Amino acid sequence: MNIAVIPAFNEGKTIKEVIEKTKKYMDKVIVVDDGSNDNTFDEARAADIRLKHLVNIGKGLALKTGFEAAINENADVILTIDSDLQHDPDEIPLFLEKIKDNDIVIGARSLNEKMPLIFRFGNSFIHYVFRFLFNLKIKDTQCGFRAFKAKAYPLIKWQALNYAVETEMLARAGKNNLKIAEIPIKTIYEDKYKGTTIIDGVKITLNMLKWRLFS
Amino acid sequence: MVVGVQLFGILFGIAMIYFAFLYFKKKDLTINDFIVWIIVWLLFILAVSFPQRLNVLMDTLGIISAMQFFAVAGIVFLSGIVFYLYTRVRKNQKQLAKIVKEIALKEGKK
Repeated sequence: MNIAVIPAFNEGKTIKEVIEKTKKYMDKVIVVDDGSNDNTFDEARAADIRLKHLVNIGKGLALKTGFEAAINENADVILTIDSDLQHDPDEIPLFLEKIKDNDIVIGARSLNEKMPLIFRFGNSFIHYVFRFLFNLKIKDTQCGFRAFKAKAYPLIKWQALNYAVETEMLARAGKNNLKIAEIPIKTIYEDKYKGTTIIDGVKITLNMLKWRLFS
Repeated sequence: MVVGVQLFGILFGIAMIYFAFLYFKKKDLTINDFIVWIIVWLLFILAVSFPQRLNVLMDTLGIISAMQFFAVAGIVFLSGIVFYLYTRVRKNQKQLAKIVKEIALKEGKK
């Protein structure tokens, strides 16, 4: 069974559309509302399962809750996609095809002109530090559009509660020699960026050092 | 003779003992926490009141003046407290995350 996990925080305007488009390609859709203050939970009515965090903790925990719910539903493949329409759900079939021969498939956003300069720089910086520390050539370590074989979850189970989750997953996957593939995806930057901030970037870099040295 | 800065230190120590007692009465501090804090602040008051008694320790550590000793001891003490608080906050954060996750999974809507 293919299950999509959509973590959401204050995405009442877009969540409905993301769910409807994602449902076309997935057997089930799980939405994890990470303590939103808006109507995200109500707007996510179309999801097969809706989970609500009582308070906002972070994307890392939202994904953890979603993965555990997906595994309880006997998922074989778990797909994660952001709830702000930054990713195009019509690209899901590419992930489902590629995951057949891999443990993890990551979407790689092109660092084009539409991506804000600061995030292009941040992504490149994290990419090079990650490559240096883990010897893994991954173009986009921060992209939230990913597919996983459910059996890989115990090997990549993360501690991060925030945006560091994306990198920690990969660090653990690298350490456990999981098969990782990347596919190019298009990314839409229409709204104010809500993802990884500069402070998140600094924290991710420090965490990478911690995972390299102590994990 | 007690100089101004000593008087300030003694009053500060007494105030902190009072706060420790207050928090203990409110059951925000356990008996163990309370005893530890009382000892800490009594030692602080003694050290401020009789700084000459610290001479042996200061000579051993190569510290010239009592003020320098208090500054170094204060930094060491605060560093310890910061580390202790950091570990407590991390522990609480993990516990909170676990509770939030379990409630979400239990009360999920299909």
